[in-house]
Amino acid sequence: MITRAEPVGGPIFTRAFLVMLAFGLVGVGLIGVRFLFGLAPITNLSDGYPWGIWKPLNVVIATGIGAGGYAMALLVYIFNRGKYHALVRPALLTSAVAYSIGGASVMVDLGRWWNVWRLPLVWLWNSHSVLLEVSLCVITYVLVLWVEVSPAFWEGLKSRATRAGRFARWFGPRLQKALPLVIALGVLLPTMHQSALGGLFMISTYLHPLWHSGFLPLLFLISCLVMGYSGLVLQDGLTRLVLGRPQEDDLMPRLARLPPFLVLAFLLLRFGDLAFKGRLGLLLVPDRYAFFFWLEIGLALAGSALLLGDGHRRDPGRRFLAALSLILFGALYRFDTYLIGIVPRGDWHYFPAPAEIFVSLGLWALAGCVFIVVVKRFPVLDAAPPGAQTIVHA
Amino acid sequence: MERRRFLQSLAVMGSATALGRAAQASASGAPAEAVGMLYDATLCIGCKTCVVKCRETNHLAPQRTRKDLGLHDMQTDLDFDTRTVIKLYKKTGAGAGPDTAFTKEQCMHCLDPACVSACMLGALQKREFGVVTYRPELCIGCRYCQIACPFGVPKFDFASATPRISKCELCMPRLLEGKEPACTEVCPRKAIIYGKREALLAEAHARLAKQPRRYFPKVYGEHDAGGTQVLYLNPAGLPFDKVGLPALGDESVPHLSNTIQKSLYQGMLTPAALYAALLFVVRRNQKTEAGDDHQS
Ligand code: SF4
Ligand code: SF4
Ligand code: SF4
Repeated sequence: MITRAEPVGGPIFTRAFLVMLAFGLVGVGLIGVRFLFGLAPITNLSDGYPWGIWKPLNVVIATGIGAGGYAMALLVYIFNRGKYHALVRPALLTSAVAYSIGGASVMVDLGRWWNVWRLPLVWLWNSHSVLLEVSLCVITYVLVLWVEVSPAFWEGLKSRATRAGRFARWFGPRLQKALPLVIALGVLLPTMHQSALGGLFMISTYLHPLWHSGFLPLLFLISCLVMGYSGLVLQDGLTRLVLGRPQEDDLMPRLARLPPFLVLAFLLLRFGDLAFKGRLGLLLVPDRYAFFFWLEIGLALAGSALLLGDGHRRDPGRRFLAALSLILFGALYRFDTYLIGIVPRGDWHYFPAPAEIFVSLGLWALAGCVFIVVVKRFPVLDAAPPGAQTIVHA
Repeated sequence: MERRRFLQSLAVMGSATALGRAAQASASGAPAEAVGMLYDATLCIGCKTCVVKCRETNHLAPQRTRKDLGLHDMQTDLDFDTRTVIKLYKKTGAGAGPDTAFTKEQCMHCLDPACVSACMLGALQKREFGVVTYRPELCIGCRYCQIACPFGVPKFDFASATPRISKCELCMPRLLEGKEPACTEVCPRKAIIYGKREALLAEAHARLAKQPRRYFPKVYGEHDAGGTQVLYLNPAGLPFDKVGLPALGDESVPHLSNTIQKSLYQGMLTPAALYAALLFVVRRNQKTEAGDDHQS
């Protein structure tokens, strides 16, 4: 199947876009306050909860959803399922945008951000630090992702007579040759840092025994694949809604076969681990920890159940709902590990300050703006098949 | 081990001190020159002279977190301006053990510290005498040390635009001058004393042997969390977890994390091999594939 990506076209400054931009600006303003006056004025962070919602939401969940690029690269380039090729570029763009949120959020969160320039200094590296591994991999991966997306830019620019056009004509083919090197990195790095995002908490004595485990790296890796594939299904549904694109009716049902298998592996590992450690009893304790644990499991099972059966996977509405449920499952598992499952030493409480929420909203909204601009102006999404009509531009 | 060696060989190019640090950071036994403190809860009268002196020596502001408690400097817990605190334990209900007892909190100077394992660029590291020290110029303010330390010791200045981590550094500047820490120097009851870890351990066991009915039969920190350089004795009938010294087992806290990381990465060999394999597969697949959407 030969596919061609095309710019979607249409006006950029629609009402939806302006609303998102406004949210983005509010976020940026609050970030300004944080850099001038420190974290305390706009966050509820404390010594008992040194990590608030920014890390789980903007880094761990955003990159989980952003694992679509990883998941697709794995499928197309490693398992050689060429038929999914049309999905790679939009997936990579989503990933690039999502990972950029993560990177930006970390910079806002770091107390002594001006020392970040020392990160590349190899002789300072502490090889035991899981966080160092996460940082180095994520920073490199953001670059890798934008390089992987960039053929869309070079293609978009190459027909122009400007200097940018000339550069694109020169650079595009050369990049093309080197791309396998980048693609392989694009599979290696997420494998490392997505597992390390879970591995971060192996060292913590504050994580509730329902979540603390030596299998955290593997569980995080599986959960990012669940979220990644589900994210693609969700993205497909959303681009149809927001941009009036025809939905992928061939590939999506096939893609939707994967998550239930991953969920099965996740659950076997999760329950097996708890059983082996003799912690199953904790699941019957009527407290908030057991509640959130079962909520995770419920979302995972509901999402998977919706996807069983060929006919069911062909139903776009059902698929969308399943994808949503599975993303929520992955997100909740990650949120629990980073926040809800934390049992601090002493009498500490945390609920996000409004500004923490608005900074997150702002970052996500800006990411949405970037996504829209890119797909409207550059060839990312698959061209509409002949006959399919473009519905509306929101 | 492999991974460390790999990173070390990279590190050699940069600096020799990093080598020494990596070797020290994972030391499983106490280094011979390790110093520490011994706190004997049966001697402490809760006068808090150590707390006052610690604040003065480290140029820390009077507590500012609990202004509601009045004008006194009455810290109730460790915070950015409080590197040591005396806490009162009160018995609830009947049972064995004393009705009240004091305990002193500060950094434990673990033999295999979780905070040091966590810290990306080595802002927290074990230096002379095995003391865990902080160098702000290497700290990026990630607060992973707060997630890692099982004793809740590192504290962060959230209210500042140029924040730091604050923790007891066993009065390192004083040690380098050949003096003892401020808190041990001023303690009127010698409830907290300074010395080589080995000597303190011997002293603690001597006290247990001499007055077995006075003490809870264990030296906290001898093996706990892989061993710490600050050691504790409690009065008879009072287990340590009651006074906030958690039951962590004898394995060091970063042990699980370090072992799993090590076996996953095998000195960066696994990632390198994986990369080579991925590259091979990507290239082969690209050759056999038609309709490449990257083709421009
Ligand atoms: S008590 Fe905490 S801060 Fe002190 S050395 Fe141990 S892990 Fe580090
Ligand atoms: S906050 Fe600073 S000292 Fe603590 S782990 Fe991060 S870089 Fe190290
Ligand atoms: S050793 Fe120094 S810094 Fe540590 S508690 Fe004692 S006086 Fe304070």
